[in-house]
Amino acid sequence: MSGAGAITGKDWREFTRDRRLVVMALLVLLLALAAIVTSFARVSAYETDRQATERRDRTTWESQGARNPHSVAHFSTWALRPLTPLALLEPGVTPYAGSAIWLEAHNQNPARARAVEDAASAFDLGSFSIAWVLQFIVPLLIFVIAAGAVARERERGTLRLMLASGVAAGKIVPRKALSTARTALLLIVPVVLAAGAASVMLGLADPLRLILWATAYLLFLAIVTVIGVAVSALSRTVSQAMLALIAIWLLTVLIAPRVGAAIGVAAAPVPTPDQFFAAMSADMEKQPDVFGDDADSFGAAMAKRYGVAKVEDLPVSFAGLQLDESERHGNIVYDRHFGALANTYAAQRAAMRWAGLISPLPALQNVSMALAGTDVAHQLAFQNQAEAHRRALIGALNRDMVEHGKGADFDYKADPALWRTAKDFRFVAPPLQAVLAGIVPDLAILAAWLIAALALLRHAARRLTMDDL
Amino acid sequence: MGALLRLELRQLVRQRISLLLLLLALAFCALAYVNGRALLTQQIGGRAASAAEDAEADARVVGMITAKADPATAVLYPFRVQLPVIAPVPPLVDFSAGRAAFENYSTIISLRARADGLFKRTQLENPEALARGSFDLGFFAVIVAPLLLIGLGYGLFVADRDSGTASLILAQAGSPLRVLAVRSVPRLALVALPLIATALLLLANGPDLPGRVAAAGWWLGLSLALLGFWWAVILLVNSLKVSAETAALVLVGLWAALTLMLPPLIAAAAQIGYPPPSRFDQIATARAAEVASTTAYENDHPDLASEDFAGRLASVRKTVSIGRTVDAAIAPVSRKFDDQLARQHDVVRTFAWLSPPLVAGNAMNAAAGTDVGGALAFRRAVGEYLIEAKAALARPIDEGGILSRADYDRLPRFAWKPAAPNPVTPLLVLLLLTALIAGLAIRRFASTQLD
Repeated sequence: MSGAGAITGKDWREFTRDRRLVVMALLVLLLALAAIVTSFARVSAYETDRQATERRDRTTWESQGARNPHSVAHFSTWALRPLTPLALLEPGVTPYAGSAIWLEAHNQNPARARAVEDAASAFDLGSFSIAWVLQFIVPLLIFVIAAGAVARERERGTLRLMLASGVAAGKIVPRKALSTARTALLLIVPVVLAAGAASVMLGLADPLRLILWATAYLLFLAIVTVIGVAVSALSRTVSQAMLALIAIWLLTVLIAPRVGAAIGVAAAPVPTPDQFFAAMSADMEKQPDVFGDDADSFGAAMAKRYGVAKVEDLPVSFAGLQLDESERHGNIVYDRHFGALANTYAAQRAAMRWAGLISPLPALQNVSMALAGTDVAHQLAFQNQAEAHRRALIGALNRDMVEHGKGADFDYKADPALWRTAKDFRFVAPPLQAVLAGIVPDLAILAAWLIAALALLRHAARRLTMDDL
Repeated sequence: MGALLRLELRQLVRQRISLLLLLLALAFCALAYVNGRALLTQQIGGRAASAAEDAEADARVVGMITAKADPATAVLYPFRVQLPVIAPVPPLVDFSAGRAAFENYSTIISLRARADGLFKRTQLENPEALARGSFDLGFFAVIVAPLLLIGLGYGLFVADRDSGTASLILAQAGSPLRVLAVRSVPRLALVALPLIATALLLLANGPDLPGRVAAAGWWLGLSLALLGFWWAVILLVNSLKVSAETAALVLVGLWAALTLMLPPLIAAAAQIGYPPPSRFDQIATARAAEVASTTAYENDHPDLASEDFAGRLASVRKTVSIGRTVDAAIAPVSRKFDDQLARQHDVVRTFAWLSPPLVAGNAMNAAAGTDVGGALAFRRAVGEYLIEAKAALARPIDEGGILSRADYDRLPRFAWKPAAPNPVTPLLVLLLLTALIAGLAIRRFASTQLD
């Protein structure tokens, strides 16, 4: 057997004989399975609920009877955010982001119905999912396993025996890293495969996204393993190694993402709802008021467009034209303010990336959420598509009133067949290419962390050569 | 005893690990202080902005009412009135953020407002920042400080057993209990003092909010009781005949199980067993009820319905009547939703007793005024105020008159005050658990002397 094979075999035997570690590993596996089962139940229940609601609301929509199109525009409809099958793996921001938007006339509304608002506890350490287990618990387990990788050999005095048996000193540490990685892989791969299978069972998951998602986690856990073994090699005792690794885990897994969020919020504060909507109202007041002070000039402009002498001679509904123009003015304001809000989110993300200096986790979280379709970019895509749908729907209702409401205006009642012509809202997720373009900096951060971890491992291997020979 | 304590302190100071952990504790507390202050400033500023906007709206309405407009315009006044609703600043939002970062704390009640859409202007915080979480003093006390304690205490006595110096130390100290006391006090102080100092600093530099000092007392009591619980666990593990490595492993495993794994597991299990009600279903049911409530849906612009007083009054009355029908249709839907949500919350609260950190965390949030109970109480209060305010706003319309200045001044105003926290039960449970575990550990240590 090769030296590497011997080390790997011995370490695996020792791992399986250490009941403490086996119990911990089994608990983590059980936790991972529980995460898969509960996530499957959560996502499938959400999707069933959403689809049933959409069908029911469509029936309500179509059975409104003869009404004025503007009344219908006020009643309007809702856009409900769908969850991708990969949301089973990584809920990302979805519990904290609104899942329903009212697409009413005159207003671009923010997304409502955030799952976190109905949560039963304010003690929030993240959404329970396989991503959470892989991001929070598995690194802790790997650190616990890795703590003894080299330090235990040193503590027992077997390190000198290994060196005496002809294993090159500089090769022991990398082989220990490979051995720990193999143990970790044996624990993780079944979990990732089970999670992938569960997400495929939910629907047509993009296999490329799934593979990239799993690869990102393998890269992250490789970084964790390499750091764990390097620290073990640099420590005198297992206890010392474990203490150091738990401190590293605390800093990188629990503290760094929160520090990043605090930096982001401080760097680019989001306005309060009152500030946001007050600024929007103020901006709106600067727009022409086609129902008030600017009604005459707008009427004159319309008369000119339709080649008639006065508003009363218009061949169409003037009220319908006013509504359409009013929407156009409103949309300019909404684009400006909601666009600025999206820019603030982008600035926050850029600032949050600084947490990548102290931990690879925020970068992994960005990659994980993006590939699962549960990041802010997907949320904004949902909101933007919902707004585009609102404008198309309200525009169609206004056009009907313009074309058929002449003389009756707000007393005009459209044929119920009109409601059936309205299309349902369908969310289209951004393409993979766009998703990948958004996470290039995060992939670079992960690569930099892997290089740094390998450099630390090399340094530990060199020190081992000097200290233990 | 004093001499032993001084000796222990000197040894502790010489250990680099103790100094490192102290530095970490200080750094984390400083971070918690900065974040707590930032959130407090934001919460106060947000409410001030709401109040300023509400004052402007109030001035506009008063100006409008006192301007003596023609009756056809004045009949629309009840629809122009916007009654502000602002929740008071949670007394310890800078200690434990809880739900403060995303919970809606202000809204406007008008004749058009509905129970199912009270908080249309939802908080706009970046969901990514919310998902990553916040680092506050509560997070330090519940999550970080126990780990620091484990770092300081995992080898408290077992390390001496490992090195074979245990009997020598026992002989020098006189009794194992004295060793424990001498070693426990400085280590506990190392973690507890930065926590207490930061809490006092936040309290001293924070605003004079009603109930803040009493809430801080409860909050500190709970956080220290949790530290006491963890120290008792550390003592118990040290009383076992295990190596320092195993002690560390067991303690970290227990910490991970009780703090990290159980809380989300409990929440997830409750979600499957008692699913929360569907917001989507609530929306769809309310919409169906809205459409069914009238066959000839009135348009949303009573000002456009007619130019004269009688025509507009008829239109306004019709709109109010439709609103009442819709409200009546939605009421059972909202009630069903609230009941189902309350049932689910009860289940989670019951299972929360399995995890002392969860018990402490929830109780600390309750003391801070940022817990689920506080949020639900606020929402309930707003719902009740909505009914009262809409009835008062509709009164002039029902009576065929015009909203006068006196009517406006008589309108009910939102004046809800959260109930004062009373976390006696969780505090007692934590203290009892601590006493039980510490008692068991002390008994085991006492028998060590006999051995």
